[in-house]
Amino acid sequence: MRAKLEKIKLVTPKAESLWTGPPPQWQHPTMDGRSGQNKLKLQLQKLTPFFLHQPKWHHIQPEQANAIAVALGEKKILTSALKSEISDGAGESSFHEPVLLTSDADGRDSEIKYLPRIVPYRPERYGLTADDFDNACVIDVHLSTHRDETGRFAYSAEQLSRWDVLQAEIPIAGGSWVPSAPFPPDVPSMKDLPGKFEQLRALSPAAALFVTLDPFHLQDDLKGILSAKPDGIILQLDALQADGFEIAKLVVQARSIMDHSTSKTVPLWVSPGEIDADDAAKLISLGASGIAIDRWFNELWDEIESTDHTSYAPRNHFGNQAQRLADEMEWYVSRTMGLLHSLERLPPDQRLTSFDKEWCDQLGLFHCNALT
Amino acid sequence: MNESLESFDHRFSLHQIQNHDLLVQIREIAVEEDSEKLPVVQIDGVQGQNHALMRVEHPVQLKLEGTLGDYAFAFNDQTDVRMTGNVGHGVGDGMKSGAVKIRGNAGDGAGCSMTGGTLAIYGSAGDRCGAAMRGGGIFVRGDVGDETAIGALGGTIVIGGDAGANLGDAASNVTIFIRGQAKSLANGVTEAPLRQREQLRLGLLLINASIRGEAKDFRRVVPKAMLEAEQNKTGELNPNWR
Repeated sequence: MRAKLEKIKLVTPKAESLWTGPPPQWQHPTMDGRSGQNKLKLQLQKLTPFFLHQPKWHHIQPEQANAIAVALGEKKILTSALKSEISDGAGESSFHEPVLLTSDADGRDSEIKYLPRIVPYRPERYGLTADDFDNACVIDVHLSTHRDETGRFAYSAEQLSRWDVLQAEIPIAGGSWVPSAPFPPDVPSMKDLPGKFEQLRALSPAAALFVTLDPFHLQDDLKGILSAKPDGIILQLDALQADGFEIAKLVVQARSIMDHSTSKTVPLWVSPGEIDADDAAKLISLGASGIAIDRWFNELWDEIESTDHTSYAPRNHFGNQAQRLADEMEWYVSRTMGLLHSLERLPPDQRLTSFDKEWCDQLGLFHCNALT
Repeated sequence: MNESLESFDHRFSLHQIQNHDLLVQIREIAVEEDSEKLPVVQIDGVQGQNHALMRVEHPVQLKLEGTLGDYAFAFNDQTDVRMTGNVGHGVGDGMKSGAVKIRGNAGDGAGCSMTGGTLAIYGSAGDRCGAAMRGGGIFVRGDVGDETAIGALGGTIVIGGDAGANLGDAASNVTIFIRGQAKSLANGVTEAPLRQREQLRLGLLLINASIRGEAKDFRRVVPKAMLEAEQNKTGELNPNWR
């Protein structure tokens, strides 16, 4: 995985600092919860800062997709999936089913839990069903226009088929693709967004409501969205091919806009594209509190795509493959969590620095003049 | 009071019961499997509430009179709704089955993303009616706004009056029947002859939706790709990728 934020350095304590006990582990910051959301807040706090934002589930078999979602969920990684994207021929997905946890051998103190799940709420809602809202952790309202592999603002026939919205032998608008929408068609304008949020909260009362947006109109879009009072923001930088400075600057800028619009406690998550585990810790120190791992996944994803897709694979093959993949993810997670743990020792404004004065000025870091 | 509200089996008021509790109580209403008549539930206190009666998911007939705000009857499944009065944006959003009949006007995005069932609006509907719908039927006795059926991938829309601009933009496999004029058709759609079988089908649809008029008064608007495939019957086929 390629590092992009090498110019930002993780600071170590000064030489004469006290040798103290370990600080608390990093946790998701406390959200301004609505009534009835306490359970959710607790659940979110127990999760890692990582989430799988826009996996291309349609590239692999539904059974494989389900196994991966389950494996990641068990690693406390929030995963975005509609039931239609990962369910088998009978319409079932174990990722969406409750998990029975027992605390002793006799099965006493059993508790039913659901794996941490994001519902992607795209403007067109292709593939979405009412069941998707049940027991979700996050509803992710996409206000960014989807681009397919060809670069069009569109969904491919392959994607639409996975959502079961495309019947065989039906000619579709673009021949092999359908245009994607930038905004929900039942919301007349940005000022009507609170009504849509209210609806989604009524459909999934315990879930947090996040909004995914692109950075190009950050000043206007973010302010408009924040005035509709979402529970969180996901900044979509994955498709930008941005360099490290641009990613860092956009995160700092978004956080600053949020802090200046009475949304200090609204979490900012980011889908940064290709970065490494150290970069993830740096972005969190710059103001993000959730990092999409889609690009970490890509190499492993390619491997899965190239493996046997037939139904002749052994029954536990998909489960083993998913487990291996989740285990590999764990390295990235533990490296990032370790770095975040180390940073907890330092005051927030002294955790990151750079030898480059321009980076420091632009990102609000203290300048390390050791090289001057 | 509308005469249709006079007889009922159960009665609830939106003023006296929380939305969640109301759904629980409606879903507990016993339904005889063999009975052709659905239990009738009268809902009082209908005064502009938003996202009312979403996900009822039970085979009962709901009768309401008043006005409702946005996203009324979203994700309707099995329920037969008869409402007298206006509704806001997104009525019948994500509807799966059953029927929602509105004797009044609807806001923008009526029947948005619906996958089945019937949405009938006996007044007019706003912009983007039937947007991204994947199945089912929408009937509007009056006019519809701009971009009706935008992004729709299936289903039927019947418009008794006029349509706004850009009718059928980015639509696939959708049939639109229109009696009046469209301000403009989107690039990808065209008027097509109303063949005898479609006249017959439309006639039945009009009867079912209780919309007066003869099928021959309507014109058919379909995506060009769909018409081409229809005309040569060997048009481009999309394999079932799944």
